[in-house]
Amino acid sequence: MATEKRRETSTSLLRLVEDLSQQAVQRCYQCDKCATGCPMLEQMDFSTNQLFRLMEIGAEDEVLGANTAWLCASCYTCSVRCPNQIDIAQVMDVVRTIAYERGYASPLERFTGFHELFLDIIRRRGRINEVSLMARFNTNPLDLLSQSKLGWTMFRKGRLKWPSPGVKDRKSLKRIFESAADNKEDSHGL
Amino acid sequence: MAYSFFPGCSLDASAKSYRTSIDWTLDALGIEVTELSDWNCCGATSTHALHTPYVDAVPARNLALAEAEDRDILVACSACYHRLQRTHQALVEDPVLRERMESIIGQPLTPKRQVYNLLEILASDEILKQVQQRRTDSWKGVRVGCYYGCLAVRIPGAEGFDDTENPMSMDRIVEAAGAEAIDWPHKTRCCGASLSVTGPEYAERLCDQILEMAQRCHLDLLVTGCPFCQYNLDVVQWQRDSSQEDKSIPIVFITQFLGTALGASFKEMKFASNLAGVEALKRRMET
Ligand code: SF4
Ligand code: SF4
Repeated sequence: MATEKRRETSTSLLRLVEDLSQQAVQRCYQCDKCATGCPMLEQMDFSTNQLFRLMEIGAEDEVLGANTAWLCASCYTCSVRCPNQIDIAQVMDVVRTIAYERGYASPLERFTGFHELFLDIIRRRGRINEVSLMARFNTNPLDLLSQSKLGWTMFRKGRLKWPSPGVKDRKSLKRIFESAADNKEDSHGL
Repeated sequence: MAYSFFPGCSLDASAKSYRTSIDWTLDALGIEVTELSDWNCCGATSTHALHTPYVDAVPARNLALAEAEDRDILVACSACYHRLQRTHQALVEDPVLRERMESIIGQPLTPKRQVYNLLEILASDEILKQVQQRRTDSWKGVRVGCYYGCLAVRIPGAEGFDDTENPMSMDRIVEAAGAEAIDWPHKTRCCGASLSVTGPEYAERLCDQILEMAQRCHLDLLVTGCPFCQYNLDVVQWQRDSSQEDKSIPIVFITQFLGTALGASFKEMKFASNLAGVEALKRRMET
């Protein structure tokens, strides 16, 4: 990687992010192209490249406490435009994960609960059924109520389906989740 | 050439009309598909939202199944396509990753089989010619905005089947089907689908921007190949109060659109399951 030589001077968060994302964040020359095209920029505390700069100067708390990575919609506009081939969206995934594991609260209250539930359903059934996903996720009855008019319409329009059996070969799923989690190189191991 | 078709979870439920219209249209065009047997969810946003070690392993199981069936994979959902294609590319480029994935999956993963997007197959010269020859006049004079969204055309580090900034595959399909594909600015603007459950107010804002641009460009309808874009843009309009109904823009799956051009009825293409602006569209088509 092109950053190899500069590693010694880099801060520990920057190094961790580069390692986990396998992206050379230090290649960024602040051209601002990623920020200009980001559909979520207005809502973000810092733009993606500002976050990179903060990482470089070791402002870890500001990086991990920012809403930037949580609000990234994973649209990949920045990633395909960056003149230095940094997959910025992938870096956002990693920053978000580190923030989460270090106990920074997500500005999106439902974020981690939703994705953990989603993963759990894949682990156990192999496929997502939208009805059971939403039923399990909306444990607050008020939520269910506000969604019920939409739910009824979707039902009438034939867009809801009761749970199907999912993947037959459950053993292979179990194997994937167990051995992938054991795999040090793939797991973030924070 | 026959493909192993990867439907993904949405095509079985909220995007049922996509599945139905795909089956009808591919059959009409003589494109042979068999559903990939015992496929699993691609992982969607959830395997990478918190950077899990499953991000390649979960799609890789499907790639291994297709290897075993000895067929290329055809994917209709943009999100599934993105995840499967990324893992496929990573396996081609990185033999170390491949070895690791093979040991996790417990099956060989020689990535000789390709992952295709439905749009690239439908936009092939041969299919377009067939469409031009066989199409009815159903969509004559209709101003169509092709909405590609994010995930079908933006795969970092990959060549891709279409341009990332100004994709044209759907435009070509729409033109061949006898309508007017309008050049408009928000073809690839994000609809925020990945935030639609966890931060709905943000997703809504992005949808509004896209729909407003569609209004300003006087588009009669939007076509899409993504079940999440369809749902997101459809529901946002449905949730507005009814005084806005005449401003609604139908969000139509590309195969609902193409099937109709090839002579399928509104009912066969399950237009009744779309939410926004479909009554008006039906009236317009019947006059
Ligand atoms: S586009 Fe790339 S080089 Fe330019 S500011 Fe963004 S990350 Fe840095
Ligand atoms: S991927 Fe995230 S950071 Fe990049 S442009 Fe899209 S929303 Fe912005």
